[in-house]
Amino acid sequence: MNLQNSEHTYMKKQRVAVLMAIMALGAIRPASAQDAKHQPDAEIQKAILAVDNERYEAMQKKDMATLDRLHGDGLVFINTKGRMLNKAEYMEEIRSGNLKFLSVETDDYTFCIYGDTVIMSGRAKSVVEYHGVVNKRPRRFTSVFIKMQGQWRLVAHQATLIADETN
Amino acid sequence: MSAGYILRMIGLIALVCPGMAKAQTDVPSPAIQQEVLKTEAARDEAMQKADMAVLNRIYADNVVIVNTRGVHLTKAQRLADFQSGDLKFLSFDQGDYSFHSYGDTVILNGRANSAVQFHGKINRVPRKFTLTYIKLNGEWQLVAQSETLIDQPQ
Repeated sequence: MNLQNSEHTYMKKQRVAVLMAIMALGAIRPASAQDAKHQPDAEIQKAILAVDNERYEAMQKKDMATLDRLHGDGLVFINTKGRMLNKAEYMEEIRSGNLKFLSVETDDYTFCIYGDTVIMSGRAKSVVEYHGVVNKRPRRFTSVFIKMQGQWRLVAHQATLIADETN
Repeated sequence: MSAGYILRMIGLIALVCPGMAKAQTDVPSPAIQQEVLKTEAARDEAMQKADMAVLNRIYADNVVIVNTRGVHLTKAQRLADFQSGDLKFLSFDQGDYSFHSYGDTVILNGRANSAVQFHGKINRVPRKFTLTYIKLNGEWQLVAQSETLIDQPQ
């Protein structure tokens, strides 16, 4: 290899390295205020609903591998009794059969999208059996999804019973 | 400047700036926890004084609020409740915090024992809450708030 070829190869390597640097920095760019979208994005909403449907289906089938994939490791789940569960506790409730979804029905969604963070709120009329007690009361829920390594994952969920308006 | 040098620098940047790692779950640094708690303290004070300017700054325009009665409220509805006096904090007591952060998103969970008067009814039942804060335009803003009474009949 002569000097000219060697220089050419060196410069080529440098260009590749610079390109890789730009790509790497782009890939780890944090979600910033500039990423915040306040208008619902149909594609993201569709993706979130697909993940949520997959989650409910996995809960009904006790598909622990899928549940593990769709929930963030830092999951905080607050149920209608105000009990706070982490991911391991929540998964164990499903695995053990203490938490069963006898039917799933959700509607009245709102979405707020902030880059890789999505807030989804809605109403659930699902029939849930929890430690042997069946709960059919409608509830409001708020779920926070974060996109991690290309996968939307549930990282926070809280459910609150809808009060009887006569109270 | 060699290719190896550039790649080593990228590795170093990623190592010393863990906050740049997109959407990685982690407990936020004590400094970020303090910033969020400072915002919470400002919100607490503003709620008690019905300081609408501060509340307007802290609540994001599209904040999603679910109160202990399972009612979904918008920012305008929540601010109107404070302004009219329909919602009053007679005392403010919350703690038992846990934090999770994902980039510029912080999830704060905790327990509230505050005495709250809502449309004339006083509620002293302890509740669990989830607050989602996002840093928007350099300020922590509340984008979601959920509350659930603890151990209520199902």
